Amino acid sequence: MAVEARLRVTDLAAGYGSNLVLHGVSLHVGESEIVSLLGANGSGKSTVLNTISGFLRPREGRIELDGRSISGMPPHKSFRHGVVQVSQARDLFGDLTVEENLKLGCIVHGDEGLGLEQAFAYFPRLADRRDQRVSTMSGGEQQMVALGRALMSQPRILLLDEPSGGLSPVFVEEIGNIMRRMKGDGVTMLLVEQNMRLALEISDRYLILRDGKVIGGGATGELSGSHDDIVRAIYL
Amino acid sequence: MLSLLPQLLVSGIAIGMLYALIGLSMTILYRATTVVNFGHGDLVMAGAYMVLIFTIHVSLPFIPALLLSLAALFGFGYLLHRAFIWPIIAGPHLSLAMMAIAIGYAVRGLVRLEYGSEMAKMPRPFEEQFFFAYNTVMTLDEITFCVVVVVMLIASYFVFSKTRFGRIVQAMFQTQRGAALVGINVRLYNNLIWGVGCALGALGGVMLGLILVLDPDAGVWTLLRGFAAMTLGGFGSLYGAVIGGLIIGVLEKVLGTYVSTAFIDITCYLVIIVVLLVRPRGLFGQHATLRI
Repeated sequence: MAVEARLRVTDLAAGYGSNLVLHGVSLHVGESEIVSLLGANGSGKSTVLNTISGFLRPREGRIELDGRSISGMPPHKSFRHGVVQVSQARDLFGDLTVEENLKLGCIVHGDEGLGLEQAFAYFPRLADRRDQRVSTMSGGEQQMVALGRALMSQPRILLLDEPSGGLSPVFVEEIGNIMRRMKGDGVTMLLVEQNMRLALEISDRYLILRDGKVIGGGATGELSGSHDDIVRAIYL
Repeated sequence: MLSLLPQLLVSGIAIGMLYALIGLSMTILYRATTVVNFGHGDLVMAGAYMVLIFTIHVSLPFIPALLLSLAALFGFGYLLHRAFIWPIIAGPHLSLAMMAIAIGYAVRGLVRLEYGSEMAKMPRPFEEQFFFAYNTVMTLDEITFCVVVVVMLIASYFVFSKTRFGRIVQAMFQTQRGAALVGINVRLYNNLIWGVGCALGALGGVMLGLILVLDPDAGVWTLLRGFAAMTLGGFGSLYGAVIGGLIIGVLEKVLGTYVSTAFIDITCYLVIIVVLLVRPRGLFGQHATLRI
């Protein structure tokens, strides 16, 4: 019997034009669980997230949130069901301020969401810069705004695409701390991350994606100190 | 000669108000979708022709005909974006430009089906009147242009800066994918904005119909003036489009009187050339790049 899951993806096939990228991906994420998708560039990690959030239509397969199908829903509909993505490019509103960006995160919920002060509790650095235009901020600070904007709608599941990508070690550490806090608060996450140390430390489980297929995975708690087997599975 | 200047300024501002309205309607489309609608001039003129049809062929009074015309152009703009622009929105910029031009020509062709290349006169809602002050004369038409455009500008400012709808459009102007990531139905809002932009342009067309005879080819004339206003004011700036329109209106009158009447027709071209060369972002624009 299937385990009750917050998100369940079954036999998902998706791609761009005639190029099929995902070939029958199946995964699930339980409530308050964090699952990392690991894989080399081009393995289909971001495609999985884009298909779940509705930017790509699945060719085959099924996506369910709390047992209800959200397959093929456009992004605004999957968002209303609680699927919120933080994209690799962040896609922030650069000419707007930090506060305006955060408020837009819950605009479709009638501005009823996490609340600005609660968001700033996650990101104290942003509280001092609430009136600063986002385009003038560093990459790490912009990543915090992107995470904050996503949290504003109190998502049922957060899809994070390379949250530490392109950041300095200091900001990687800071983003890591924020994600640990989110984990402590029970935020359900499906995480795509190249920083394997960070991903495996934060996550409850991991899955290895290769050429659009899940080829392995397991509980991060069962891993020994060395991640050589995972690296070999990803790249060799 | 200089004694003419106050009159030229008054007349220039009045006609500039019309250019401003057309520029404003194009800017509203651009703000939402970052697409410049090169078929907009023909949709502006379609507004005037719709009033002509409703008043002459359906025998409606002017005001109901005007409201129906604006509603029709709103619906047309909504469907135009939904059916023809949205399906190719991710494609090359050139495709969007060609689609907009093709639709404009198609609309012009439809007008020709009924009117050929004949000129037509739109019925007037009121008799023309003249008002004199300080050695200048202003017509009731000109006063109407000024009042309508100022009201529209205030309404646009209120809607785009004070309402939830405006905040959403502002977000879409920054990044459409970002807007989708916060749950905004980007396609629906784009459709609505195209509807609003076309209706507003149609209002400009109806006002033009008060002072010009209607000509199926007049879309090019209106497009160029709206585009010049938008270019001078800065792409995406609402008040920039209005100020740009006013400056072009005044320049046309002043240069056309003091230099040569040829400047009445070529001022908008010159403005576009000079602005794109010297200050591509215009007077108030923030973005130097645009989707055509």
